[in-house]
This record gives sequence, structure tokens and C-alpha cells, in this order.
Amino acid sequence: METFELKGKLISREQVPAVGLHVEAFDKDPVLKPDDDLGKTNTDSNGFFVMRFDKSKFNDFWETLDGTPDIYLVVRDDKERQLLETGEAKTKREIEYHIRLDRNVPNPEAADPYSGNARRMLNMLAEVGELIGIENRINLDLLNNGDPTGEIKKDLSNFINGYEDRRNNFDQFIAILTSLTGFLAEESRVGNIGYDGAQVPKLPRRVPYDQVIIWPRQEEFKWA
Amino acid sequence: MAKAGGVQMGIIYGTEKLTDRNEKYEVIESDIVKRADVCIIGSGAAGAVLAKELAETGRSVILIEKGGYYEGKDMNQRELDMMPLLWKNAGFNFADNLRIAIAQGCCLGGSTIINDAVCFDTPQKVRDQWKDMGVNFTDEEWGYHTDRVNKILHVTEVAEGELNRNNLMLKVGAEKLGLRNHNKNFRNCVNCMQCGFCHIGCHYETKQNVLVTYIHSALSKPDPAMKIYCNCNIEKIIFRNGIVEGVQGSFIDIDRTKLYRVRINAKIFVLSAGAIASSKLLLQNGIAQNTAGLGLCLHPGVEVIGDFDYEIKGNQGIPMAYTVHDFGVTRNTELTREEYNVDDNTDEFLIESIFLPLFQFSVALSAGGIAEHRRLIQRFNNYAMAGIVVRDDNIGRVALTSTGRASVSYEPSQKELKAIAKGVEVLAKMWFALGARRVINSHRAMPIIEKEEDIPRLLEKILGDPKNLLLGSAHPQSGNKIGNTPSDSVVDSNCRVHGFKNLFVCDASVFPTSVGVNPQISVMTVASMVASRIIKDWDNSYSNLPLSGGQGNTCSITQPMYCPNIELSEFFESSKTRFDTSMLVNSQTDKLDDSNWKLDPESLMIYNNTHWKGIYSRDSNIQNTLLLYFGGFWKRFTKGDTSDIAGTTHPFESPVFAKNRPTEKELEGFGKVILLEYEDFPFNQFYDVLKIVDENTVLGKAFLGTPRPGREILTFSMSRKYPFEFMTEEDHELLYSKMKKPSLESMVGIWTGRLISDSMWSDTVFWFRYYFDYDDKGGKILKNDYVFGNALAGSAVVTDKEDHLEMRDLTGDFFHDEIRRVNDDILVGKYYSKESFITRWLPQGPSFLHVDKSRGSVYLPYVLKRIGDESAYRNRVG
Ligand SMILES: Cc1cc2nc3c(=O)[nH]c(=O)nc-3n(C[C@H](O)[C@H](O)[C@H](O)COP(=O)(O)OP(=O)(O)OC[C@H]3O[C@@H](n4cnc5c(N)ncnc54)[C@H](O)[C@@H]3O)c2cc1C
Repeated sequence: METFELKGKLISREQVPAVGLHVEAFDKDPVLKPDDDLGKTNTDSNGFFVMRFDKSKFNDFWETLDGTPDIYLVVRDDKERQLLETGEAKTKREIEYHIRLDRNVPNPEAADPYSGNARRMLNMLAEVGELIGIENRINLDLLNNGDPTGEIKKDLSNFINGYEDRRNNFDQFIAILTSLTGFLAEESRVGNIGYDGAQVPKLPRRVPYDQVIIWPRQEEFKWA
Repeated sequence: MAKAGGVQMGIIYGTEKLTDRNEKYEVIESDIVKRADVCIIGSGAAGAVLAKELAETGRSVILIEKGGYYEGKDMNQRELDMMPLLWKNAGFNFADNLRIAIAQGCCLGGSTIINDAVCFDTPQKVRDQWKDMGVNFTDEEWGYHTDRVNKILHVTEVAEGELNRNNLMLKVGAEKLGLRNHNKNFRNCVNCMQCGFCHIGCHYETKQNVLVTYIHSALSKPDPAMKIYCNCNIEKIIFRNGIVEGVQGSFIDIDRTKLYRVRINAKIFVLSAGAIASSKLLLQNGIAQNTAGLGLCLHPGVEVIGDFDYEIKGNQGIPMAYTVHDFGVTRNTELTREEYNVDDNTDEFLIESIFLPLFQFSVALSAGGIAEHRRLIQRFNNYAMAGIVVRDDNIGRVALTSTGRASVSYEPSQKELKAIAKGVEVLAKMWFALGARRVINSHRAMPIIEKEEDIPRLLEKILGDPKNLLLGSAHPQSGNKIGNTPSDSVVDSNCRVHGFKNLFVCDASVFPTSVGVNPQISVMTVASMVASRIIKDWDNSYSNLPLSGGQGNTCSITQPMYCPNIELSEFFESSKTRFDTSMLVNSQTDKLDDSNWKLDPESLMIYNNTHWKGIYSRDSNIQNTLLLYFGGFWKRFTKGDTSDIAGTTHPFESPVFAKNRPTEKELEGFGKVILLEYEDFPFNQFYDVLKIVDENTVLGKAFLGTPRPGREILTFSMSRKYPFEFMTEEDHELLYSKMKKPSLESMVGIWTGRLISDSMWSDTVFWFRYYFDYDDKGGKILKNDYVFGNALAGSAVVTDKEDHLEMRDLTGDFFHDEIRRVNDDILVGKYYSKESFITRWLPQGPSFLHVDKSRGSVYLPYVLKRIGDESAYRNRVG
């Protein structure tokens, strides 16, 4: 029977391994309550935990459709106080977790340092373009209107000869970038390729969140 | 221990409004002038180490950083958000050919904030090579400081379980190929959360970058002796006779708009701005003109991607945790190199696992073009990626362009190409051996190969068609080499710039050669050694150096000409008039002579007592700019036979001479002031309220109707002693008449020029290159290339006239230049038009135009300043 593996590491706020915590896994069920209990284990002296289970644990109607449980973990201390509940993730094989027990204190008023970033990127790109345009024109002018010495002339023509190349490289770069930004804007496509991107909120200082990294994998590693 | 300026130390300052910081943070809202024992420019790997070590041994330290202050909680793991905040030029940073992308950090902590946390000690072999090149760090120093750095950064070996699938691919692949010398990396990361976003800042602060280690440690001492200025870009180094007095620059906002000015005075100055930026700073300040920026290395590299039928998910986990050393400077066997026919002993490269977050990965995939790209990116989860890092020769060059930009020329030679090709060969074989269905690389003419038999063709392309090879660099280094002689190195083994008592360069740029491994530990070790040498030599060599009181061009009440309007207004309100009206009186005659006009050749201050020159604020809004160029004025006060003092106000641009009378008054809302009442219609509606703050400085506000606080139409200052750059056309004329011509030889070099108007001088508008050429008969001629307004360029010939040098270009019949010398680095010139009818219509000569009545023509008065040597402005490579 297919087995699933959940593993990971817990560290404390001070970034030392969190030892002896209880980690329990559940399969979220949209209809049946309570959620299926998939297993339970403790973190070892390095803060590690691992648990395995098979399909029998979540054999209800929903999962039999695609065989992928919606897993989340609950972490408790030795007095059974709940420290944390992770978000859900689907997997066909394994999930690796990295958890730091440090819930933030949100400040809804916190500054947003990212606003205006698109403009900043464009400014910088424009600067690169200018570097090609202006510098080339000046050097070309100097070469044509002036009568520079052999050595300077060589440098100037060298630079000018590189113009086509630079221009070309720049155009290609812009094309790729335009295509990319369009592509990245389509969040669903990013979803399609299964990119597990950012693991924290967009404005981490403003909202509450747990420091949990969830790395689901759908296949066993070929060279394991 | 001294607290600089009596102000509490140990704070980070910046221009951004940031909340909830780990360290004490304050927003800068005005110009600053500060002093300290040590001023360090750049807070990266080197700057932070120096700052901490020096601050903790009792030196007061000012650390300056161009980028902003961001900490873990700001790092939101989104590339488009983080790259503009953390990366130099938002990541769009290239060599001139735009084929090599150069990654560098620009934020508090420098590149260590965005690096992959891989740690290699400086290889013994490299240390020995450097020793042969004249670097005199002892083995003891190397040993001690390497350990110290490793300890402070909590460097540990990657644990077995921390190798993600992408790293394991390299490991298994290396084993399959029978490579002998490959290991897990050491990293400066404690209990890594393995989010994979090292390149855009560590959200969890487990990465031990210099901000959470060195800088934090220095700031958490009970009485820290360190101040940090972020968002602060240093541009000018002020020095005389081998001693730097101060550095100047601007506080910028994140769009790079200049907000406030800064001047730092210190006993010693260290440039730690990183490779490229440190060279640029030296070059643009006329220092080390023949050596700085020469021999830049990039550790150029390419990434080689294997596309597999099985899932890898390389983005999950530590990007760089495994390295193949078989071909590198760190190899411990020659066997592999022999097997792979690496004949040249110097072709050295590492193969390192690496994976990138999606955006950067996408750019790395871009060699195949757009359509292909969409297809390729769908396979993101099935790629394995590793990179080649080549130990290159000193083949690059940082120079300046005529617009003052840094120009980075770099073309890999056959040696670098051979190393790249060899690396690609090994990796391509490796990926095929592991079952890759294709291998993707960054050669545009052959971005994809489907089978092992195609490898030789790809290698041919790499060697034969390098213009289509896209390269990357994250390790720019060297350029300001350590060495014994000024002719081929920039600094000595103390990292002190040759010929300077108190200027140091210490960062990746001082490496004599490329180091061959990821450089951060080497950069920090060198900085740590240099810091300890400075500490050791402090009492004997540096403690007695003078601490300048210079304010540069920052705003203060003693130099209101540099103030923005708000502060000018505040100074006006908070100051008292310190003298009575008699202090206003100017010289008897309004003709310039030796009694009423002086130029201090040292400070270049002009004293002109024929009148008070009116000066506006420095704000750059439209209204003010118009005022600056067209609204200049002077006021002149005389004492007649009676005891009364009479005043005249004259706007430079119009034939108005408005009579007025100053009286001391207690004015409601203003306190004691001098009130200027105008006598004749229509000016009798106007009032000026003046405060004399020192013998040569007056602050004033102008009103239409009865003066009431806050109702002024203008705020201004007036001086009869002002810096060179505020000279009037009359000053220029007199100066010109007093000066002699320079020798032709002394002209050789690069100069920038500004136009003089009565109100102020312009921004830099000319760029001149003077150089000797030979005519047909072998006679020497001095030539000049010019660039005007960053756009028009041309060339002129310089001739030696009786009392000046003359320059004529193609337009010679209509315009020409006449030039005289103020000192070695300053010239005054006139750009003359032919005898002209213009003078009939414009008797005053508006703004920058000045009328020469004796010749019946007009000229543009200007000042030239030498900024460096020709050699600093060579872009050598296309
Ligand atoms: C993406 C990336 C990954 C890397 N990975 C690794 C790795 O895994 N291992 C490793 O050993 N090395 C790595 N490196 C390289 C390493 O980080 C650098 O070699 C090292 O940080 C260089 O130190 P530095 O002090 O010379 O310059 P930097 O650390 O770059 O610091 C220079 C600082 O000076 C500031 N500055 C520049 N000009 C001015 C100015 N005019 N005024 C004020 N401030 C200024 C800059 O903003 C910058 O913050 C990586 C680099 C990058 C970019």
C-alpha cells in the first residue's frame, strides 16, 4: 500500500531546536467532522520529527477521488497546550516542514516598503537603456566631429562597434522581461507549474502568521 | 570614549519611514555634518567587519550605506518586491556589453544580505600567490582572522539532511562520473529554515549576514560608538596633500531623488563600497587614475540545467549546499583534471549546486527566446541546476564614461571560455548520466541539447561564438589591487591608498587576483586583518591626524547659500540680527579693486564688498529654478555725508536700481530686525525684512505690503563672502583679468565645466578631454574633445595665444573659447561669439550670456574643474 511521509524540523524563537514537542497530523475534511487523525509523534533532540501512514488513514469519499489528503499539523507542548496549527497542503507522497515557533506581533500600521517597486524597476531599466543610447551617441559624435588620436579613436570605435551587440542584448532582455512579467502576473499559471512560492504574507509586519515552511512533493526522490 | 558631536551614538538613520525595527532607527530630515574617528563607506562584507572591530576597540565610527535598512521581517520572499530594495540597480546591473549580469547588494549589510551563505576560507594556494605578488599578511594573521570571522558568522557544515534534491543531484552525479573531490558546503546559517530565498533576503534571520552578526553586535554594546547612515550615497572625497578631510554625498529616497546633503569629517576614511563602486569612487575623485578599476575579475559563470522525467523541486531548500572541487583552486588531486584533459594549470573552476527563485530562474532560462521560454518554464519542478564559477584572470576594467557613469568592460578570453566549456561539458555529461532528457544552457545559439553526442558542438560554440554566451557574476572582485608599487596597484598591504595618509580601500576590490572560491569569507578576513592593523597603528599613525571642521555644501546658518527654503526660513525665524545698519555698508566705490575684492586661493572663497549678493534656496522646483537663473539680485548700501545709510536693490536681469532705506525696528511678529523700505513707485509697495547673522551674511524675507510673518513672497540670503561657485559675472570678469594662461602641458586631462550667471553657476554642462596629438610634421598639438549637455560632442584644437589659450572647433568662425588658469585644477574661460548685433538688443546679457562691450560681442563665462586623467575614462571594450 502507498505510504505517505511527513517530516521536518522545529526550532524555537531563539533558533535552537525545539525538543520534545508533540506533532499531530490531520486530514482536513470538508464534510465529515472531526478531521481524520493521521498520526502523532514527538520532536527528537535535534528538533526533527517524521511520521508515516498509508491510505487507510483517510479512506473517505473525497480522498478516494484523487488520493491526495489535505494535510495539516498541530504542534503542542508537553502540557498539551497548542502552539501552532499549520496551513493545509496536498501531497501524493511527502511533505517536509520547517517551523520556527515565533508568532509575530502584527502592526496594522506598519510601513509598506514595497510600494512603488514596479516604478523603481522600470527606472533602473531605463537607466540601462540610456547607458546604451547616450554613451553611444556621444562617442559616435566624438569620432565623427572630432579628430582624435589613434589610440582614443580605437577605443571609441571599439565602443561603437559594440553598439549593435549591446542594443541587441538589451532588446532581447526587454523582450524576455516583458514576457516574464506578464507570465508571473498570471498567478494561476504559477499555480499550474506547482511553484511553492513565498511562505510568508505579502506584508509580513501587518498581519499575524506562523513561520511555517511547507514543501509538498508528489513523488519519491529517484536517488533516495 | 568620545561621543561624536556630543550626540548619543549607536543609531541607524535613513530617509525611509520604517516601523518596528530591531535596532534604534531614526528618519533623517535635514542635511548633516558629522565627525568621527573613522568613516566607512559601504556596509557590506568588508565595511561591517571594519566598523564593528574599530568601534569595539574605542574608535567612534560612522558607517555609510547607499541602500536602505531592511531586516528579516521585511523580506517577504517575493522577488519583484525585494530586488528593488536589496539589489544594486534592482538587479539590472550589467557589464557594458549587456551580456554579463552582475549581482551585487545595495542595502545595509551589502551583498551578504542576498548571498547564498556559502563559506570557503581563502585557499592556501591563493594566499601564497598573493604573497608572491607583494601582499604581506602573515600566516598567523590569516589563521587568526579566518577563525575569528568563521566564529562570528557561526559557520557550520551543511548537515546531511539539509541537502535538498537539487544538491543531491550534483552529489549523485559527481559520484556517477567518478569525480573525486566533492563535498557539502560550509554555510553561515544557523538552523536554516530552508526556504530557498537566500537571494532576496533571509526572512527568518537564520542567515548570519553581517547585519545580524557584526553590525548588531556593535550596536548592542551598552555605549556603542557607531552611527549608521543608510540611504546615503557618497560621491565626493575632499582631500589635499594626501590627506582626506571629508566625504560628501546625498541622502536619497528610494527613487534616488536627492533629499539632503551630508558631509562627514574623520581621521581616517575607508572605502568599502564593493568592487566596481569603490573603483568608481576613486576614479571620479581623481585618485589612482591609472590603476583603479584595472584588472577587475568577475568569477564569470554559467548555469547548466538538466530536465528530468522525475520530480526535483530544486527551489525547495538550500540553494547552494554542495560543491565539486575537482577542477578548482581547492582541488586535492590532479587526477580528474588529467582525465578531463584540462591541460593548463591555471584553468580553474568550481561546480556548485545552485537553484533560483522563479523570476531569477526564468531569466536564467531566457537564452532560448520567448516562445521556447514559456514551454521550458512549465518544467520548473523537474529541473536540476548547477553552476560553474571560473577563476578568471584580471581581464576586466572599471572606467568612467563622459556622463560620469561607471563603465564595466569585460570580455572573457580563451582561458575563461575554456574553463566554462570544460565545466559545461562535465555538467552536461552529469545530467545525461542521471537520465536528463535534455540539457539547457545559456548559449543563445544552442540553448538546448538533447543528447550527449551534441556536447562537443556546444563546446565549439562556447569557444568560437562567445558573443552569444550569456554570463552571470555574483563575485565581482579585484580592480583596486593590493601591491607594493603605485604603478600597478592601488593600495598597500594595510589597504591604504598609495600616496595617502588616511584613505583606505577595503573590500573585494583589493584582491590582487580572483580568489577562486566564493569570496565572502576572504573579504571579511582581509577586513578583519586590516582593522586590527589600524587598531594597532592608531596611536602612532592616525590619532594625531587633523579632524576637519569643513561643512562642504551642507546647509547651515553660516552658509545659508546651501539651504533649502524651509531651513532658510527657519534660520531666519530663529536668529536675531546681531549688528546695526552700519554693518550693511559696502565699499565706497562700486568698482572692483584690491580693497573690496579678494579671492582666497586655498578655500576659493570670494570676498566682494561692492555689494551684497542675493542668493536663493537650493530647492529644485520650477519657481526656484527660474529664480536661480533669472531672478538674481544684489543690494548695495552706502553712507552719504549725512549719517543716513542709503540702499539700492538691483535685479541682474533688468535695468532697475530701486532705492531704499534701512532702519532698525522692533517689528510685530519679527522682533528686532532691519526693515528696508523702498522709496519710489512702483517699488514702494515692497518691504524687505533683514537679519544680519554675521559680518558677511544676511538673511532676508521680501514682502508685498506690510510685513507679516508667513506672508513673505520670497526668502533669501545675502553674502559679500561666498564660495567660488556663487561668483557673479563681474567676479568672473575680474578673476579672468587677473589670471595668466596655463601651459599647454598642464591642460592634459579631463575637465568639467559649469556656466556662470549672476545668480549661480549651472550644473556641470561641459565635459572636456585635453590630449596631445601630432600634426603631419610631427609637431605636437593640443586637442580637446568636448561633450556639451550630455548630448552634443565634438573636437577642437587649442592654440597658445599671448595671454590665454584659445580653442576653436568647426564653428571656429562664430564661436571660440578663451581660457586662463586659477590653479592647477581650476580654469576660467569664456565662450565668445563673433562680434555681434545681439549686444544691441540685449545690453545686459540675460542669464548666462555676458556682454563684452569692448569687443561688441557676447560670451558665456564658465569655470572648468579638473576631475581626473584621461586614463580613467577609457571604455576599452565594445
Ligand atoms: C546573489 C549573490 C550571491 C552570493 N553568494 C555568495 C556565497 O554564497 N558565498 C560567498 O562567499 N559569497 C557570495 N557572494 C559574494 C559576496 O557576498 C561578496 O563577495 C561580498 O559581500 C563582497 O563584499 P564587499 O564588502 O566587497 O561588498 P558588498 O558586500 O557588496 O558591500 C558594498 C556596499 O557598499 C555600498 N555602497 C556602494 N557604493 C556606495 C556609495 N557610493 N556610498 C555608500 N555606500 C555605497 C553598497 O550599497 C553595498 O551595500 C554572493 C553575492 C551575490 C550578489
